[in-house]
Amino acid sequence: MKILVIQLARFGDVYQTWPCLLALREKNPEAEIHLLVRERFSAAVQGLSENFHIHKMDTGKILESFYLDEDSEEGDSASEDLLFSLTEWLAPLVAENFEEVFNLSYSPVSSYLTSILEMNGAHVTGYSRHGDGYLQIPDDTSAYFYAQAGVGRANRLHLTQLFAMTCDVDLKEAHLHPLQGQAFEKPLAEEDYFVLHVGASDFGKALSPEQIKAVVKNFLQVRSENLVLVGVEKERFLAEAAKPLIGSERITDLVGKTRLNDLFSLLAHAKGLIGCDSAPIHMASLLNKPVLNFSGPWVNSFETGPFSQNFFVLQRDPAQVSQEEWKEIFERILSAEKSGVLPRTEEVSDQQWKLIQTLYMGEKPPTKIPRMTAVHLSELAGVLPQVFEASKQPTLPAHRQILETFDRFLSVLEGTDPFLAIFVRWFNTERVRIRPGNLEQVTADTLHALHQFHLILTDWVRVLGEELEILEASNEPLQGALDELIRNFRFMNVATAVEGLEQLLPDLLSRPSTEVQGLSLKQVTQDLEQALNGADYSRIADILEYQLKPHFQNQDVIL
Amino acid sequence: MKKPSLEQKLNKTIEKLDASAQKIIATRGYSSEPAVLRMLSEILKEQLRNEDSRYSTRPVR
Repeated sequence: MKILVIQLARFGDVYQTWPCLLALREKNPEAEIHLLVRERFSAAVQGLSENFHIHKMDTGKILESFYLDEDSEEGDSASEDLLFSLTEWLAPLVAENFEEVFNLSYSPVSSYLTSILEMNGAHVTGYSRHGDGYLQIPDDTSAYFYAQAGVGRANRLHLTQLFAMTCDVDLKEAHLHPLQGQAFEKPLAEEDYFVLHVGASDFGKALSPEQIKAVVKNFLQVRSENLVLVGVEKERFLAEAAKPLIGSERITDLVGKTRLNDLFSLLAHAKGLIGCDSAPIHMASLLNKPVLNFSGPWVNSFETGPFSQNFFVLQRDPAQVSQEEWKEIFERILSAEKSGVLPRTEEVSDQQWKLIQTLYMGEKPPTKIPRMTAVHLSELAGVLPQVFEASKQPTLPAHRQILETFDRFLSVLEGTDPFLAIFVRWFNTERVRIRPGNLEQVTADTLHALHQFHLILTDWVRVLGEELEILEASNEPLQGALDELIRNFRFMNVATAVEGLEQLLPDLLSRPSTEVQGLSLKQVTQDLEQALNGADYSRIADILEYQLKPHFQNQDVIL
Repeated sequence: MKKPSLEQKLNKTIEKLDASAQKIIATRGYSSEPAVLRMLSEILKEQLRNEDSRYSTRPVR
């Protein structure tokens, strides 16, 4: 059997795919297993055993003619060359005649690629395309991923687990830590050291120079081991922050002097890794080395954090951590007992995770919910019978109006109620999964999804009727949404940022108008709308970060 | 005549590829031809400033 695993995301994702690949190999000892990665991130397959056939997607080469054809206004001549390059790259991959394809990329590019392989006879698990070109999500794990995974969401299943579930394999410790105990050449004379990765996958996730300085200073004070600094050349300025301390014989500065794969031997002989959200935390996890991970709201640590047996995810400014706390953190990650410490979660996100478990794992629904969710829930359950009736004949004008209003209602709920958003995303995903067909078939499938939706909601309403506890005052969801928006505007992820802001504005407008730094909330919201109309994204980020965020930090907000 | 920016050129090419794919899907249905056009269009979208390959858990359009 020929199996293809597609992983077109970045270094960290490729490393997080290793456990799944190894489990697939164990499950299919006779199979020919292929892996497709991007050329740019292909260094992350080095060290993986040679039992895999590696294919590389070289985007630079595929797009070469586009960038060479600088003078063409519309890229007319380039378009044909591009198609030729892509077709030429695809031909040998299609000719492999894969029987099974597992798409672990969850991206639009990969979904078109899998649809091409599917047309050639492959059985695809993961994102693909329906017969009309719309997104197809054939398996339940990918549907779960589509609906519930990602930054700012309540998923607590790790990416390595989700990959394994997509490929229908069970992960063992040996798959998660395949490099543990493997002999690596000793790269340094130092005997006793920690590795500190000074950078991150992007500067938004890295520590500031001041924070690096605080980390190095505290480490030298509370620990007796040496410290080896690593990073790429462009992260040199971060290491410079620790320069006054670099003179210390306990620090070895290797920033800009190592290649990605040198890290395996450095880490293999180290006591552990200290670093931000980036590929080295996953490399250390493959070696099962203790990890101290500086993280922030830009990732979901449950999903993409370290997977060593011992780790500590710190979501605080490391410059504010006391020496006593530093000592305790290191004791925990170096403990002989298994100890994984994830960021402290608030009750509201614990209850949201419970709700996800209810939907997907058959657990009892949470009975402690925000007051607003209880109101929304009864409204939603109340309108569903009418929506169900309208869906039987969706082409009638009056019915179409009901269905459009229902969709707008769902959209508002998704943007304003993080509890019901879990349900709404589940329902919307089920609708995406409906296969194209004639009106009769599509109507029948839609009614089935609505019926399921109604059953789940009414069951929850029934449970709440017996035991309802109101979850009071947490502004965590709003704070999380603001952090994500600020980051997206600052990094010019415009489409995502604008979509997020448009979801947030109705919520802000519906709040009682209170003062925000001398202005009314309404005025601030109008400023935001004005900046949005003028595409002034840095102004939007400033308003969010310096006016709204401090305002809501000081408030007790019930969403 | 002012030279178009890379972003303008990318957008125009993406638009053209998507329109061609749509036309084929509307007349002949979804097949490998529009799939390749769409795949190329998505690869080009990744080149835009607000797009890149990113990590697995980014939101999918």
